[in-house]
Amino acid sequence: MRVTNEIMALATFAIMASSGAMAQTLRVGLQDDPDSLDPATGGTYAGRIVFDALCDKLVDIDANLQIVPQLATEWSWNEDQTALTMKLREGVTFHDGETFDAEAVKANIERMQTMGESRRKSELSPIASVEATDATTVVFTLEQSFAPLLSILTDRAGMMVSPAAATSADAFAENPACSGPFEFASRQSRDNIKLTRFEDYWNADEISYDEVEYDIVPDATVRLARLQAGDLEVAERMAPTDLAAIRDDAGLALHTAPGLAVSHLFVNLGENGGDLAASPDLRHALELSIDRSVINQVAFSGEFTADNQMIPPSSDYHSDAVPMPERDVERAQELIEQSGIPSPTIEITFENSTTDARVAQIIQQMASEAGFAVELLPLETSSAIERYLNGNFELYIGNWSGRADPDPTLTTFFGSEGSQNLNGYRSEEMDAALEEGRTSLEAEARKAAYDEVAQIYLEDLPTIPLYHPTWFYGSQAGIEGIEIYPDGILRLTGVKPTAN
Amino acid sequence: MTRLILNRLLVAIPTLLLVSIFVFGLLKLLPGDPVLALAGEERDPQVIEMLRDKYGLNQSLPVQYIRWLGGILQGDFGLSIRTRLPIGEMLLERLPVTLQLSFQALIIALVIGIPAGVFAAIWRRSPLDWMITSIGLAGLSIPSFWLGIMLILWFAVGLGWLPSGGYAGFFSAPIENLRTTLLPSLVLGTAAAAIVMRHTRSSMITALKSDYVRTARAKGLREGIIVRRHVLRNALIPVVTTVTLHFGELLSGAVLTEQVFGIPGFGKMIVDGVFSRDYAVVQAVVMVSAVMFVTMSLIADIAYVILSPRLRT
Amino acid sequence: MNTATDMSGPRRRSGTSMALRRALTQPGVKIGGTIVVFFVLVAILAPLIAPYGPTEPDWMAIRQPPSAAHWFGTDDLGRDVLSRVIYGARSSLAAGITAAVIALVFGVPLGLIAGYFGGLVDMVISRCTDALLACPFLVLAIALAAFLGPSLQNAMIAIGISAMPIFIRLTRGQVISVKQEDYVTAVRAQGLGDGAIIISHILPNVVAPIVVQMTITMAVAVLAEASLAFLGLGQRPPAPSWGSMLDIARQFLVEAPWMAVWPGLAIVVIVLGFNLLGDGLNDALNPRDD
Repeated sequence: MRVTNEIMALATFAIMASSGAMAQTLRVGLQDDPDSLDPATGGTYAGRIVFDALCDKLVDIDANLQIVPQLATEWSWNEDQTALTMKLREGVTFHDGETFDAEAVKANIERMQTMGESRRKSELSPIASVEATDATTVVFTLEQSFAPLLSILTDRAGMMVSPAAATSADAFAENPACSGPFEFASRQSRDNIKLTRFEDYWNADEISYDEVEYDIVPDATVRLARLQAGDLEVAERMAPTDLAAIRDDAGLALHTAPGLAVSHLFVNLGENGGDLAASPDLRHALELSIDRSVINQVAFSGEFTADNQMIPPSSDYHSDAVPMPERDVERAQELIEQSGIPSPTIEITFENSTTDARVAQIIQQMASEAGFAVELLPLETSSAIERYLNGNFELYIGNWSGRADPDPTLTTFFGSEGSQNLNGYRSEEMDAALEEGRTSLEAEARKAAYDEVAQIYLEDLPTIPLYHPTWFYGSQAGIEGIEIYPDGILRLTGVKPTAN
Repeated sequence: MTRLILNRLLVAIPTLLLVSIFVFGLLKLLPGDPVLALAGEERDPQVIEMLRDKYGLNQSLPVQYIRWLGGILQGDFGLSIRTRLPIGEMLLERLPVTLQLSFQALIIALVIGIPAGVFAAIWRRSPLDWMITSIGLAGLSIPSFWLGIMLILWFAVGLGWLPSGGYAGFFSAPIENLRTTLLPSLVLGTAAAAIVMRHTRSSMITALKSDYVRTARAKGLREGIIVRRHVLRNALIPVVTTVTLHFGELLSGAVLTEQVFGIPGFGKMIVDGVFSRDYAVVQAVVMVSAVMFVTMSLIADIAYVILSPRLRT
Repeated sequence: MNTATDMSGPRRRSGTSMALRRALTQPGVKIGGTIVVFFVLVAILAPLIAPYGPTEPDWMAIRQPPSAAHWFGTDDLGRDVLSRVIYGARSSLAAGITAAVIALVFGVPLGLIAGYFGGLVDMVISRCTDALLACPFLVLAIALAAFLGPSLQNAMIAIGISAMPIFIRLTRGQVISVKQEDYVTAVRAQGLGDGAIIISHILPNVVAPIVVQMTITMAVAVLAEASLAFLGLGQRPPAPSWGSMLDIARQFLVEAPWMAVWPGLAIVVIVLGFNLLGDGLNDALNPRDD
């Protein structure tokens, strides 16, 4: 039945395609509509999926979060680790026909550092200057050594757009020109984005589809239904509760990868923090009252990873020295008694998604068994964020997408100057450990530094990490070469339809 | 006639102006800053400030209002804060979708509602009348989103005949378009059919009691002929006008129905707009629906005057 | 408009109470009244009749189909759906009644003032009413509820304000038709004050259509509360509301269809109750068809 559907769909398409040839289209179901299609201003996860097809990056990650070449073929650091020299791939052209070279890299980095609307400014702020020493060599000079730089260049900050097309952000976003395997064709807001194969792509042999169509399908169940009906080839973010249906369906395949993201119960230690702010004992009591495995079982059918740390176990920098504690209601009650606050009340603020609402209700029930009185405050996204930014919350269910490198996550949340440090957490010890991790390029030294970081925040508990989501992509069983990395991005290189 | 239209237009202008002030004021008072949801998860203060500037949110409210109103009068609805697309374009994409749904719903409503109302009126107080009125009342009592869910359960999940949601363009995929709009139209049509039925029934009852029917009966005309020749036409005049006036209710229904079926229409644009605090979008959508409502009532008035000659004085 | 009743002409207070008595013999009023009373009792007696607590989870029994232990099955957190439907009657009825009362308390006086005094006051009130009526009802309620923040109370206020304009328009129309009656002109000639005239002569004559409108508004308000809760703008979790139960159920249509069936059915029945009551009262108080 599915086969006939596919054949029919293809047949319909063939009739409609002006060329008349059997064009192969990959239809990908996305949960959200990406915002701007300019890597300098884009801010959504869905957008990053589209960018993989549209814009190549200087470097990429592999399945183990190691840095691998993309537009840069090799790179090296100078002695004191303040200058990064990159050798660029030759024979790369942008979609508008312009040539990719060292000057283009310089123009891109400077554009992202200076353009008013750029969101890459803080990520790229460690770069003091960029110099094109010849057509294929570029040197990044830093103020001080900065270990996460390469990892930052594996995402939007490393995406190279055609400088000729990149005049203004709005104009570019309407007709983006990068150097990726597919070029922009059309976009209907909240409906679809269509890309067509870029014939001059440097790695064109690895690209098997003629067109990619990203369809915006917000509801996970609907995405699955359309996948089952053969109306989509691939769909992202399948619901944990739907996975059994995908696994049971011989016509579908499930692709998973442990994610970098983390959901955590962010505790306000500032003036609006309430009972928990003043008492580390109460924070430990709350942690001990929660059974993370039950949250994972009940809310996510056990498909996610229950964990007590911000960095997921799939990363080298997850600390084994501080394992996840078992639920211990008696101990929690003892700690509450010790704290001197007989019946502590807490209020959990969260963005009103059904997932967070479910997690919040489970926590509410568990914490109340230990003696906490828990209020829930669901708010729609922008109001919730407003309170979050103003530090106007007691506890907040934070959903952080994570990064390939541990530094952006840990420094932003726990560093005294961190941009996500909105709960008033200050620790000199922590700042020193973070600095150590950020400036040393040696893997061993970094690992030791991040072990210490984990030790400190799990003692102070400025936040209580709960679980790490897993990425779930569903696809038609016949499609080959789909491999999802921990960043959760669908990479189209090497993906091909079944030979028939 | 011209005077009637002119009169109504004169009243419509201050009404619409008030709507614009209400909508603008209400949205500006909403807690939650639209640019926060846009600023990415890093929420860099620099980015936030830049976005506020870009969308003119740093200006004083009267200035923002006047600029917005001025833009609308020139046909410029501004940019969506969330998608960065011109709202005029978004409206042109979304409105036809909802109009198609409403049109199909209206057809369903008329095809079911008018005959049901006519039969109920002719056999008034019979078991048939009782059955039709009860079903009609039930139709009015079913929440559209629940009916939508039940239809999905039955036709999409259970039988697998129709897709459980989504939307295909009318011109790009006409068959898929019909498949995706059938259930939502049915949901919208149910409540509308109930309304049409109730109005048809009550105006038929009035018409059946009128003097000319009595005269016709006295002349010995057959009941069927009386109904077809005399009653129906007179009875349907008020139905036409009320149906036109119920346009706003169809739109209210579309809000949730589109949400349930994931249809990228006008109603979904409102909900998405409110939730993402996309002021400009909500303002535009509410203004457009108010204009449509006012136009529809004007059309209803004119239709009434044209259809019932005795009012033409 | 189907929501507004189309009664005209004055009726004395005694006429109204006689009509009300007559209304009680209407089958629609009897059935509708029984349904409403039944749900009121369910709401009040919820703690006595619900087999489980409405927020009491059972992690080991999530999304269980209906069984002897859980007649309506369990939800995504292992809570008893029957108990949640029973407790859900509270927020539904509270919203329906409170919203209608808000609409009445603010709408009727404004309508009386506009209709009785006319002139500039009438102009201002009528234009504002027109403007509010030009916005689709649910859209207005959604925007107001989002403005006030998600909670049951705020949902009630939002629905009440959205339903208010129809009361203003209805009362104003009634007042204008009553005002021109001879006896009102007569008492005014006797030098009775405006307040006294409104309270003792005008108000009694507009009671009947307003009673009918109240009942219809309750039906509309119950639906609106469910709609807002469905969009996450109503009762806060974990307290149950039929609308939010449906919102959650929507994600488990394949695995747990029972979660979607019962709360929806409860909404249909209670709204049907209010509608039957409204229809019956309308027929009794507005006997133009007989």
